[in-house]
Amino acid sequence: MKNKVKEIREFNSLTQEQLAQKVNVSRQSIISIEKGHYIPTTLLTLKIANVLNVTAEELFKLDNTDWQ
Amino acid sequence: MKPLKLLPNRFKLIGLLICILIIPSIFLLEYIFRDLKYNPELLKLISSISIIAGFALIIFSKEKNEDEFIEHCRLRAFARAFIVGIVSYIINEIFHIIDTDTNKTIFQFLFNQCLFYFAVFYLLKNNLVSKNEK
Repeated sequence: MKNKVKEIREFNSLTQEQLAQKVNVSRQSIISIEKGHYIPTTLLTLKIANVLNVTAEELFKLDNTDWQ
Repeated sequence: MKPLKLLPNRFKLIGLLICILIIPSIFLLEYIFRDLKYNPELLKLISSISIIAGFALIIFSKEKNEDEFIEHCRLRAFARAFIVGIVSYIINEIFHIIDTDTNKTIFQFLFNQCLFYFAVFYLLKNNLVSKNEK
């Protein structure tokens, strides 16, 4: 799964710490999500999308390998 | 998903203190105060229970920032430690057939499982494991 969390967060001039505080998670969680190590739950995805003023689909995109 | 019911974060410190106090005291009694009269089996029992209890307190208490990612790491570490426990038991039983002196105690299994859990949990938590390994 590809994600654009880092790009959209930087576009919104937010630091990882600020985003983490807004969605009520640790900075480690944001780092893991941005690196693609961790795929967040629907609830957290929607929260992040809400804070960054985008849709969930803009944040995460299915990869070809996700269908295998 | 409902979050796991865990002990408050302060229990982690209590568990850590138990382990820190017990491990050097075993060393002192075993190697330095050897001449003192004490029951070695009783000491072994008390120390093994204390260490496992200390580890359990560390494992079952919350992190400072307990969120879904930490829970995810915790569950993965539990799963891997469980698999390691089963595999090490099978290997031990096979070796026990070949060489009867190599039988491990339950304490050794639990101790190894706890150490493996800590290693996996902190590696996952600190993003030290690459994407492919997860």
